[in-house]
Amino acid sequence: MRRTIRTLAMTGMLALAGTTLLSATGAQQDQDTPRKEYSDKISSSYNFRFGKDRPFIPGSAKVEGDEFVQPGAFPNAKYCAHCHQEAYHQWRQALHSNSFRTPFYRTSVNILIRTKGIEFSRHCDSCHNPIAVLAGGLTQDSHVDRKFDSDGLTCMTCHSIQSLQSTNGNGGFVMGIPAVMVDEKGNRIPGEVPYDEILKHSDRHSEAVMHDFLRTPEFCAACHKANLPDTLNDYKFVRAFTTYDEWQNSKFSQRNPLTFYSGDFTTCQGCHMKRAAITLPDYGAKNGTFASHRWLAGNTAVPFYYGFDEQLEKTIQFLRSGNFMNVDIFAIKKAGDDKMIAPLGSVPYELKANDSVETYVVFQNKNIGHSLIPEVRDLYEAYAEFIVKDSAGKEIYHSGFIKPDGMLDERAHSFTNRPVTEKGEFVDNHKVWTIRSVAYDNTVQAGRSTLVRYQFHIPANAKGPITVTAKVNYRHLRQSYLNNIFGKDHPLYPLVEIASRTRVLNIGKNPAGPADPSDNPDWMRWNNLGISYLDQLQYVDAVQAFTEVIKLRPDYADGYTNVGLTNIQWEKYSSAKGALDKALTLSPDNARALYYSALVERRTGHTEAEIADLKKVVDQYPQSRDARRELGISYYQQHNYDAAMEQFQKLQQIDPDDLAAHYNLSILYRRMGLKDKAAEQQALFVTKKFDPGSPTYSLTFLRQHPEISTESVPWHMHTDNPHDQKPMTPMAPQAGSAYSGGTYR
Amino acid sequence: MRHLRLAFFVFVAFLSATCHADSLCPWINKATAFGVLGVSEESPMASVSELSATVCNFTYRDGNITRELRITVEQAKDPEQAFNAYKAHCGKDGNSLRAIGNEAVMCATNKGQGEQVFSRVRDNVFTITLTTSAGNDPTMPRDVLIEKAGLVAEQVSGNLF
Repeated sequence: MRRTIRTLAMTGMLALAGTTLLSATGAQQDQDTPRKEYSDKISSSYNFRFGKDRPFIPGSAKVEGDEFVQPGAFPNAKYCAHCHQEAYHQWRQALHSNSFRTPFYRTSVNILIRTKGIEFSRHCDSCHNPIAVLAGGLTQDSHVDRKFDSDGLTCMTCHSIQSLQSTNGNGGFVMGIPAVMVDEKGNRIPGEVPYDEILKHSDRHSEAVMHDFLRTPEFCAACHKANLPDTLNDYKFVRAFTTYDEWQNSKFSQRNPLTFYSGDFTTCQGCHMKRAAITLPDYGAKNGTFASHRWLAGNTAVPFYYGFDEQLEKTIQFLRSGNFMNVDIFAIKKAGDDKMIAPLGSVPYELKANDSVETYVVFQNKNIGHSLIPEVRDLYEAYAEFIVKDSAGKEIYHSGFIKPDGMLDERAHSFTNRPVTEKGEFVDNHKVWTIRSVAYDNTVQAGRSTLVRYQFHIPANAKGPITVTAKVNYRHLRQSYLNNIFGKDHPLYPLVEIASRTRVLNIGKNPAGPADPSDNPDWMRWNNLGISYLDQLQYVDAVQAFTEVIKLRPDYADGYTNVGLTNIQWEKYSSAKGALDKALTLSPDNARALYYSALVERRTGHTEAEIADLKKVVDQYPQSRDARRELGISYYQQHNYDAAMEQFQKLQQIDPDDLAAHYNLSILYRRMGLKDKAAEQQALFVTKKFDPGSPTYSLTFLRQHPEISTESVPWHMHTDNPHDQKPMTPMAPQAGSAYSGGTYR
Repeated sequence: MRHLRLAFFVFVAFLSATCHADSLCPWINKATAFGVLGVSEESPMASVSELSATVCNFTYRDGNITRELRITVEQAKDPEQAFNAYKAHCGKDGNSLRAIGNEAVMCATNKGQGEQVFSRVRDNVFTITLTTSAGNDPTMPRDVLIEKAGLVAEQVSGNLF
């Protein structure tokens, strides 16, 4: 009898356990079977061009379970809007929801589809329309209902990502089966759930849709970093863009000791998802505020086209309010006089009518966490405008104007680039698979500055003051791209002035005056000039500019470090050492100075000091790619291969595309007998390294486009004045002395 | 035997026509088109006809209800004039549609049991006609007709860009 009772009890317990297990996993199993059926059906007609085990190549998107997912598995945004009205309202007007459907995107992806085939668009749509990719919709004779296209990156695409791949980009995420709730055991419940269940268990809703990584820049890197793989272009790995790496190299990441300036730690979300007071109900709000789902940035084209006036207004406000750029009309030079009158406003000078004046304008990328403009800057139009007017308001000189046909003045200074094909033709219409080289790139990286020179002539009859204005303007997108999309009959798209500065130049005496509160202090003005000269390879002028910084701030270690690093680039190592030693006297253990000091010590054969310095840098900045790279090289040169390998492996964790890491690891692994790993790294190096033939494509383009070949010379001058017509004669060789450290002939 | 042979050839010809027609609407796929009509593409009540680069016709028939989606696309020598001619069909009842092609207008048709969209993408002019035969079609009330016609217009214009 007892045995019977025990047996019955055991059976009952087992049954109960089985039922519990079934209810917890039942929901998952309910999803598994239809998903398998769906996946099998899609697979029967899917184009597995890139291999059955790589259904989403040339994109990097991955999904749990490795099978296609029914598009209906993703609850749509209107479902979420029931409780998250503020989020929905913002998202609907923002770029992410319009990532697929906009004509600005469709025009270029359609060219890819028509030219190569829809299967290649899996590269683009891994980020622009992941549901289409994961549902198996990007194939000929697709049987996928594409009603989700309107929603692009919908709520449950971001909020269903379960993990991130390494920061390779191209859709570097692992998507889970969408779930808005977990059960009491933490198992995800696929699909939609009644709203009252969510409200009863909001913690389980949060557990399903929120992850810590959503707040990190690495999450953004899944798509805001892209390359063009050989599966797309039948060529090799080509870097497309990497906003993430630009951020990581900026002051805002606090991961790079080599920035010219420092700043508070700020993530992508910190700028682009600022908390603001809600205007509509939202259960996700905290204390009446909500992290913005507008992702305000530079795109004015989408809200303009769709009539999202609120988004357009806020985008323009964002561009203007962030103190992102500083424009400094820094100096003038009169023709025939080598003396630079600078910093303008801080020193007295005289001007006469009929003077020819060179103006030095420094544009500083002051507070952007990435370059101006990041990503596809061949399509975006950020440019400098420079206007000189007489006292009656009549224009004397104007560079960077918009022509009647809406096109930008060809000779404007444009912060753009020009990707070209192997025939040296500009890659218009974003046909990225044809890119083989970049003929020039006039971007300004985060924290850096660029010097643009303008020359104009003061009329002989000028009496009153001359007004000089320099601006940074932005248009999303460039006019010729808009013409390709719409034909020429489209309205003028918004032009936004991001930053500007005006100075008044008197004919006669110009005394020094108080600084404008919006101007940088003089030491920073000289520093930015020095940075500009450095990037334009004008080392003498860079050292002189940085020396002015030291005069104004003799206790500023970075001033000396800047002299040091300029001399390193100039290969004047003994001069560099003097400056760096001074920097380290003022600021011992200064990582920036230590890094450059290590490079000098390497040149002079002081290996122990070199390694000690780099180790200190790595201790302070463990995610510094430069320090890891150089320390790896140092160890390699010492035949300390284990230590070298460790550094390059860590470097590869920071940047999986780092070329030095691939190169050195391929050698180190081979030395260690790890042949497979060596071969893998070697193959990655080969596909990612610079193509030595590519400069010829750039040169072909520049020969055919003199207006741009001028721009590609770093120290070019913008002017309407005719060139001196005297014939050029070769200079006779001259002996002379270097600035320091020796003589040269 | 002769009848069998004839039947066989007719069958093959029908099959060829159907298979050929199946793949010839470049502006919207069948799954999406029939999704708009409220049915799966595999349903026996779903049928296609006149599929080409210039005309796509999708039909759903269930008893007394017939829903139809018709898409026409033409490349016009004078696209502005062609669009205006189509736009005239709507007359004063036409509502401009934002963010469809270069320009677009929508109006009711079929005595209020349908919606039409006329639009232009560069030099291509297209029309969308979405109709239901039922006066009070529970699946396609007026607001749903308007929404779905807009959805189709967005699909077609997106593929034309």
